[in-house]
Amino acid sequence: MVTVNVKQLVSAIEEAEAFRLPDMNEGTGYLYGRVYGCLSEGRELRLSEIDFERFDLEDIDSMRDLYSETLECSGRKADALARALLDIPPHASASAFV
Amino acid sequence: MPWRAPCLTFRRMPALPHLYRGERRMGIDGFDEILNILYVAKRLYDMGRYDAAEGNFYDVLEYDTYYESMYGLIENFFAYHYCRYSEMYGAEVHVLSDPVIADFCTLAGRYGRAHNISDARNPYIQAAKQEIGRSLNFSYCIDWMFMAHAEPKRPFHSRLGIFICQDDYVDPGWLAYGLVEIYEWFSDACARLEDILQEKKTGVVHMPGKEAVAA
Repeated sequence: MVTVNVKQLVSAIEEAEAFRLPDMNEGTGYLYGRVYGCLSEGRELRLSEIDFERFDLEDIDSMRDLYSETLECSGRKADALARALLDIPPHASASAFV
Repeated sequence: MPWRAPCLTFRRMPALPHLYRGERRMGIDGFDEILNILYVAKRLYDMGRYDAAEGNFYDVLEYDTYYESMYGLIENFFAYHYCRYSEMYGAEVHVLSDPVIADFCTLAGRYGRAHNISDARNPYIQAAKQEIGRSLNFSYCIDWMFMAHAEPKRPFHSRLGIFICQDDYVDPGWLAYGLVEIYEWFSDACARLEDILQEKKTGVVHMPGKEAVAA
């Protein structure tokens, strides 16, 4: 039987080297949070809500590189992990407090 | 001692726009296209023409609106735009003009007449062609023609013709970005040529990225 401690799993994922983000400057950080963050969660992204003062053109290139070199790959790994977890058959067991 | 054309300096522009063009990737649907929209919007914002982004881009950023947004900008960024499909050439023909292009050609012509240089050898018109090439020669499917009239016979007589061959894919984001670059170059060049004609200085002609010396 496989048991998963969700808290420990989330903590392990957050600390895993494979999911660690590289250092990024302020502009790229803004794009990561505002653009990638929004789209990766399936939320609507509006042009009128973008603050064009907070990044440079080069930051868009950095964001593009970050996506193709790190985020896309991490997304695939996360998907694989989620699929593996979903494939674990449920197992009825008595909780300690019952 | 041979005379030299007056100094015309420009700020250095990036060698090529870093817009992404290529295969689709997994992950967020159309993320590269969305970044392309942001890239062009940011460029317009930096040059004080964000109104063009507001007027032509969909507010909701998504892959589905990419082509419409970019074509909207291509058709509306310049004051004059005409488009038709030519059966004979199998190409989409865009004719574009704007007061910045018309004024530039008139000013370049004034400079040429003052120094007895023909339009064909005018260093400023040659520099304009070089700039147009730098911005549009990113695809073998695009050809262009710059018709410069130092003494225009009608409004928007000086114009830029772009021929997009339908044999292969041409990213409209790259084309839109190229047109934005061209517009800014003409706009800057007009201001500097006006200064030069007023000052009547002589010297070396500094064109973007390289030095052109008048004959």
